[in-house]
Amino acid sequence: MTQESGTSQAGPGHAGGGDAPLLSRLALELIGALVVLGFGATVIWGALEHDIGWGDDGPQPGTLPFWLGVIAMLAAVAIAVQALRKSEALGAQIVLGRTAAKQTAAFLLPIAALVALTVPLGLYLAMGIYLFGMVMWHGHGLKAAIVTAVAAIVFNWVAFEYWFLLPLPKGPIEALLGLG
Amino acid sequence: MRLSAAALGAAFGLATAVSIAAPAAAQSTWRPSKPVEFVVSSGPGGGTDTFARTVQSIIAKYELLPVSVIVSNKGGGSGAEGFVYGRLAERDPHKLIFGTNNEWLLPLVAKVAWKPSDLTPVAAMAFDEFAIWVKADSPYKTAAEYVAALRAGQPAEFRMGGSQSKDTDEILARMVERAIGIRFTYVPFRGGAEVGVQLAGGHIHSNVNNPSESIGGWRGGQVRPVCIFAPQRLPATAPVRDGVGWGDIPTCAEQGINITEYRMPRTVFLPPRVPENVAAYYAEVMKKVFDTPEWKEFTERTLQTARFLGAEEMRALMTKEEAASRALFQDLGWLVN
Amino acid sequence: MENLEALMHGFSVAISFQHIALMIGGVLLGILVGVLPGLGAPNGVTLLLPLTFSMDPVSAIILLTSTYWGALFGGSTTSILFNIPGEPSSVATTFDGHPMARQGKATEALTTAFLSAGFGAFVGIVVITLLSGFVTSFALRFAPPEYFAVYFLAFASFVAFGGGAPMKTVVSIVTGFALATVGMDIVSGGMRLTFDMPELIRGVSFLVVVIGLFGIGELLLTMEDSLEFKPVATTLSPKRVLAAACALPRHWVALARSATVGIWMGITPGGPTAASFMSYGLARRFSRNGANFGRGEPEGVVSPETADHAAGTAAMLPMLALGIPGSATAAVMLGGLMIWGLNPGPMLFIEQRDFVWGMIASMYLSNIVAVVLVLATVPLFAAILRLPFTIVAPLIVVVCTISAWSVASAGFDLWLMLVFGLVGWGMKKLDYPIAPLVLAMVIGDKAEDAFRQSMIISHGSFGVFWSNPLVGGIATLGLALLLWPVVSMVLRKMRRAA
Repeated sequence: MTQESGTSQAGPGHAGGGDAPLLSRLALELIGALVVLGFGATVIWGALEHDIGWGDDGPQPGTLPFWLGVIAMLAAVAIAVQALRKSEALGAQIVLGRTAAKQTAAFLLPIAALVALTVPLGLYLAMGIYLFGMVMWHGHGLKAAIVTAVAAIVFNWVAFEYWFLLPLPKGPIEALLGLG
Repeated sequence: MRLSAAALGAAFGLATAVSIAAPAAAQSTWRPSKPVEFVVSSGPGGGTDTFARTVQSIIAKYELLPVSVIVSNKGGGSGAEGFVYGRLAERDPHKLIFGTNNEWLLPLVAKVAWKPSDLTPVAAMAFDEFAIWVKADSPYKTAAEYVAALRAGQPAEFRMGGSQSKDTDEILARMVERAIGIRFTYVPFRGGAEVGVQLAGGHIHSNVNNPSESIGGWRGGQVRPVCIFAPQRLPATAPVRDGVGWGDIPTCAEQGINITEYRMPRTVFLPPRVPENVAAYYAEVMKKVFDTPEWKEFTERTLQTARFLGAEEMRALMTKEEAASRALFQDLGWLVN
Repeated sequence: MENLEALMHGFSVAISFQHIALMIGGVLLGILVGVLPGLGAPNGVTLLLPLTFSMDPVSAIILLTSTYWGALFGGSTTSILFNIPGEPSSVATTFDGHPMARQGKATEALTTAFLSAGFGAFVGIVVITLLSGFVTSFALRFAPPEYFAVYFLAFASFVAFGGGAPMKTVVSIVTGFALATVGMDIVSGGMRLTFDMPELIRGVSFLVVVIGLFGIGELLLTMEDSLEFKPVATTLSPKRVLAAACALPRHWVALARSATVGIWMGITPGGPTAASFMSYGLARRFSRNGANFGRGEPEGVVSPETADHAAGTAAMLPMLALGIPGSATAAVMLGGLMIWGLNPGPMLFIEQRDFVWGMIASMYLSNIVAVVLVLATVPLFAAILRLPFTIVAPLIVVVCTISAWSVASAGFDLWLMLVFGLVGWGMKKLDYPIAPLVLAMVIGDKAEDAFRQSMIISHGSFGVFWSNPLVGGIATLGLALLLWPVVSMVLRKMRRAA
């Protein structure tokens, strides 16, 4: 199972040369283990609504999820222990620097905004605002921002409302224009 | 689950009464103003999907709606996805939900986010029949012989397949168990086609598929029906295989399995709380669809009984079936609500 | 050869101006929906279904199947260029296709992908043509234990508990299986892991998870490194296309193995997605270049693509002859068949010769059309890649968002996409392998169903998995593959000792 790890380790700059450290590998490993632990617990909790035994007719509905949850929690503990054993080496390894974190957040938060705005504003307006904002913010100028946003809206409108007959969510603006 | 003839008769009486009483003015005022979404509570290729798309094709051919129709499949959770989607679209007059009796049966056996009375009934347009099928080269010539073999052998080694669990197929299987007083093994699969192939391969001993689900297998000499769950034999058809046609298949009651009637309605619903004139408008459209030769051809080809129920008859049917099923499910220990 | 005669008859039905035009139109639309993740082949075919109501069945099936082939080809394009699988079945193509593109070998990757896909499809159609009767009776022998064994074999051939971090592989697998159990459990008829949330009733969509893990996750990683897009030099020079085409026969072992895997999975039916993973896993384990897999090895593109298309085409046979769809798209076409008034079954081949053989003949032609057309779209994508990345990245985000929405028209799925984007980022940072999660999600619920059905049939006895040579053989092969790393280690030690 190495195909992904190969690419991510090969990527330069992950260790953040010159970038002020924010998150060590050790910290991220422990966060990861915690997330898995929580996931496992949730799965077990859900499985306990059902019979988790093994009857004459084989496993019951809760059996598989229950044991999956148990295995996930055990694996999470093992991963955390392994990480803590190598805590010195992993603690020195920086997986996220401050600049990198800022760049990532600056990319992630607008996506979250896009997702949050999609239902109240409609996807067309939300994507227009998102694209306009992103292109402006990266300094491509007003013209590029407008062209990108409008082109995306028009293309998707034609493609989804007419060709694919697969309407995307619309909001108050479309209703006002009588298009919703 | 049984639709007694009396109840239906009463329902029909109601229907005529309602159609006379319905104020004509209310029906004509409303028209859809944007594309209507047909929400199909099954995956593509399923019986409900074919039902909805046939309605769509007839509406398109006769231009029965002034707007276009969009079909979307929401078959997750045995159709629960589609009904939940419909319930959440409260007051939306541009969504029709296509389903079966699972709209009122599923909430009894699974924790789902709607009550049978939530959605607005529009119409039921056809009733699908059920038959007991065996493998073509099975030693049991008739249903009676099959039941005799069940009695003589080890019933647990006799496997009846069906589509899904605690759904129409398993309900019927359990009713058969009660009718003959023997418990056999029920194996749930994903859908009717899969069950048909399992039978053709000899991995199960029988199933209760709808005629349309297994007619290809019958013609191809893989499986054959031994009895049909109807009060009387189906109308005679051209021979399907070896000179035997649908009219020659005995009813299950004739064969000593005392279930006189078991049918699955093909139903259309609107979201909750839509105005009455909207429901009336769609009921009228569905009635027009029902009256076309194409609908007749479709129901005949798929061996369904064409019978139209309006909203009131549907409510009567739902109340009656729900009460009957509740008692049965209580016995079987399936009830969750 | 009776079948060859029938095929010739089929060609006489399929070759007409109208049918060729339908093939081209279908393939083009297919490429478009294939390129957009989330809007996959099943959607494309569903969209066209109402159009076919007024057509004769032969034209209708030609249009629908051509769309399917187009979508299968289009799905690989975005996998390779953007690391976003346009189709579920092209997830495995990202493993080596995208690294190749990053190294500036996008042309080679695309050409290799399309040609091996075309080869896989061709082999699939030949098998349908020559062995239809045999294949049908073979498919009838599959009961739940056999199905379970097939899924087990697919899983075992992909996942090896070799090097890396075994605990992290375990987490990945377990997560995939757990996500697959969400929603309605068909064996018990109950809702599992839905926590009374209506959005979870339909289950966690595989497509939304993939869009998040691959699409958003990949963008997050790229953003952090630098604002430059990795794939450079995507010009399509005929010389490089030709060179890549000439290099293809060198991978004949992989081609043959993958086509076999694909046909096997198409018929049994494990489906194209599982086929591509299985084929990739086998190639990585048995190829001489196995160590290069994941770093842009052409054989890592050849294997999943060939198997994907071989499975996609082979799945048509059980659909026509038995009415069991081997893929989601085949299920839609099956619905079409019913509406056109045809009943799938063994008699279809005899009573509807024009339809069946016209369709089979059209599969030869439309796959050729598809290869040519899809190669012609490459310059278009090259043009997109020349835009500044700070514009392309937000556009990709918008495409991902639309795609995630179109899976089930649910705002909830957009949040799910975002969460899995973060999960994908974290998994890559911490070297959790993503592929086992994806495969476990694809086959998880089907494998569990098959297992529980087997247990119901056998009243709880495991002997059912060795109850006949067919199921026993598959199950044993699966076990052997799962234990292969251990076996090879023992063999090596013995050799050293000798």
